[in-house]
Amino acid sequence: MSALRPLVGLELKTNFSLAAIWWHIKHGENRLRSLLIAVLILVGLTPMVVAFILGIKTIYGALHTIGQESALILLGVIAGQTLVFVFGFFYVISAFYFSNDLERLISLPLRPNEVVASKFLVVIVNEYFSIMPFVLPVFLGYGILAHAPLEFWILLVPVYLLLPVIPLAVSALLAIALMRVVNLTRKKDALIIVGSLVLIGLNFFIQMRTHGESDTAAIARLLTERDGLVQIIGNRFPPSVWASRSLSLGFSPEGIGQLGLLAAVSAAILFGMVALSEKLFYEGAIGLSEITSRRRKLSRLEMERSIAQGRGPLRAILDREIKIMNRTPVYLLNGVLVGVLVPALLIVGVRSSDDNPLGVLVSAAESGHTAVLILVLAAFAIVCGCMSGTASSSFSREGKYFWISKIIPVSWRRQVAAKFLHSYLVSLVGIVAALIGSLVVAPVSGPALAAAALLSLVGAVPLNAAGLWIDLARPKLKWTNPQQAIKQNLNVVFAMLAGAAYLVVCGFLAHFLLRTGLPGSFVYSALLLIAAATGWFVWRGLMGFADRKYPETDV
Amino acid sequence: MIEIKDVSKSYNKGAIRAVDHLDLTVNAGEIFGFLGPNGAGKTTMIKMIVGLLRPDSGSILLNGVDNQRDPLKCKAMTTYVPDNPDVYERLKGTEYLNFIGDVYRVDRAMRIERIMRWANVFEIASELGNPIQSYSHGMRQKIVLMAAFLPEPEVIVLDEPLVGLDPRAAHELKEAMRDHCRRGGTLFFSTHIMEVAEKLCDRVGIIHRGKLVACGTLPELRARAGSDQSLEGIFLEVTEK
Repeated sequence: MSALRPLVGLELKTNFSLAAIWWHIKHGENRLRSLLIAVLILVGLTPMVVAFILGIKTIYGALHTIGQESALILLGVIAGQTLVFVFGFFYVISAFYFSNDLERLISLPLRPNEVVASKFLVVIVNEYFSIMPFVLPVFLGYGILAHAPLEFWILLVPVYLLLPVIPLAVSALLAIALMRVVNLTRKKDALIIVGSLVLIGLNFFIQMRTHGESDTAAIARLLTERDGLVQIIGNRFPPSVWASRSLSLGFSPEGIGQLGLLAAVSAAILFGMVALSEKLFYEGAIGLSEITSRRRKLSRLEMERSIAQGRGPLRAILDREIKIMNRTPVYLLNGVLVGVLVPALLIVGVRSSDDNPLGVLVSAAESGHTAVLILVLAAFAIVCGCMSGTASSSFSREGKYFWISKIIPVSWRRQVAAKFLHSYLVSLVGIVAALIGSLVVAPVSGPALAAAALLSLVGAVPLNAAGLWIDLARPKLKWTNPQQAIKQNLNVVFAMLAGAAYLVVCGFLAHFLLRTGLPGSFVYSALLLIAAATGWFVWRGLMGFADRKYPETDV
Repeated sequence: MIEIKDVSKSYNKGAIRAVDHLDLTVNAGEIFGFLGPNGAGKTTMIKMIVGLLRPDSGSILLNGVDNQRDPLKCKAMTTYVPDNPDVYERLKGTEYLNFIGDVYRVDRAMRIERIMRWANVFEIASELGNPIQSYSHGMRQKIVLMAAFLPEPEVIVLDEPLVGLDPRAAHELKEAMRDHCRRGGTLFFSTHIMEVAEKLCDRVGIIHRGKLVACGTLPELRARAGSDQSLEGIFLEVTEK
């Protein structure tokens, strides 16, 4: 009997902590509190959901007027597949190569491809959940607005299941190849980070450059073909078109053909990856955790040099946070570099595209809507700076080392302040990257850039403090693989949703104030004041909460 | 000095009573060995002493300071070695010791002197510049022990500190424990090695199902048992049921 089935079962149980969840459902002391938290989250999400639905409705209306409504499905497909590719790559590397069970699995009589297949299945199940909030509302919105027939709803299931397969299998292929090379070198961690970024950037660039179409041909296609827009946007990544067209064409021979094509190519790439893993996976995995070290007794002088000057506890904890974050590839990639990656991909995308997709931003800058430009820039900078999960996994990342934080003679408030400083510094990196990225792709004046920087820096305070608060409320300290602390941590998702809800509310407010004819400078000042006030309140709340929560957090 | 007054702790809504109305005093200058079968409540009790867990009832005083009312003051005078040497793997040995030195406010000159001394004692000087990730289990145990002795605290609490140590390091640790108590410090440690407890401890306590079932010097325990048994014999007798 193949070992794959029990292996997949075991991996799913371990990764989703199914046994622990079941135990908590049966024995948990705080079932009512968990239910209340869930209700509160749903209530908190309402403004964002409303904004998302309105956005989908508006886009559908605009596409409907030019007869290209099926392009909405494509937008959902592209959003999902891009998310899977960019974030899935890091996920695949950590799930395949940095899970704590790897050494145990290698010692068992299992084939490399069985280990890879089981881990791939776990990753893909996770991706189904990860892309759900971004993709499903778009599909459901289209289905309802277009009064889609039954076949659309039936086909939605296989299309959704196939959606992440190709980008994730391609990510896995690249990851397996990269790790084979990484394992030959001494500087493994550094090479993983650099290699990952280069591969993602290169792939993104290639996708943006290939299958380009001249403007004239694109316009002709848009006017003459029913799903011309789908072809124009999707010809950069054909699987998106196949998925989108199979949904829009339904059970017609062409629609079934598109689904068949998607399934066949997905299966081919998946099997290719699994076959390659048989040869390369263990060569990349075995010995990866071995750290080469120098064995040389430090002289008194060297020892004296390596002993710190006696920093205060705040500085010591900040230093610890920075070192651990920057030296753990999974944390560095998901926490720090994501904020840089988004603006970098934006620059690559815009620079490699024939037309500037950020036309709205550029035209706002050119037509004198400076306030709108500043607010959009600030929102973008805040997203890049604060959506990384650094704050919202700060306590969870300590994991089994949390005992150290509990026994050291440093007040809870000071420990939280050090963690806040760290996450704020990471935000700063994202904010600076976002503003530089914006400067490259859109003509932004110095004062406008400075105003956006100020608003984003102030706006980052409540979001970081809220992230810490959310993580401190239910820190995920039991993990077997560091990626579970940041990538598979619901606190990160909740903090992102809370941050997004906060930005949407501020966006609505700005929109409302600007429509009433108030001057842009007034709207800007109001938002700055709101951000500062929110920051102050959340910070105060966080400090009080730390005093109560730290002592009762069991290790 | 450690004073444990009527301390209880239970898990799973009271279904599992880990520590049950435990009273115990460990005097300054004393090495106290805490013994008990697996799951008897040793680690739970130790975690409550160092502030990792909160007792359901009762109080714990370190040199007269309640560790629930003034935790910072208690922590400043206590260090702890857990049963598993889990320390920040991504830090180098010196970086971890620096961190401990910073949070316990050990000044630089003292820090250099003590780190050099302990590094030589535990024969780990050649590893301190490397990431802890590259250390063996025994070396990790040594770095945790160095961190515990670095601030020279008044109270040291060790949970099975000899596990994973080579014979020379184990010998050095026992010497260090004696030194600490000779200077007037208090040392509380748990172990499963009866010979060590017998030779090293001034007094021992045996915990069974959360209750302290025996406590005293070896002669006192023998007198209570009414025989000239070894500590192992006494242990087996009091934890039989």
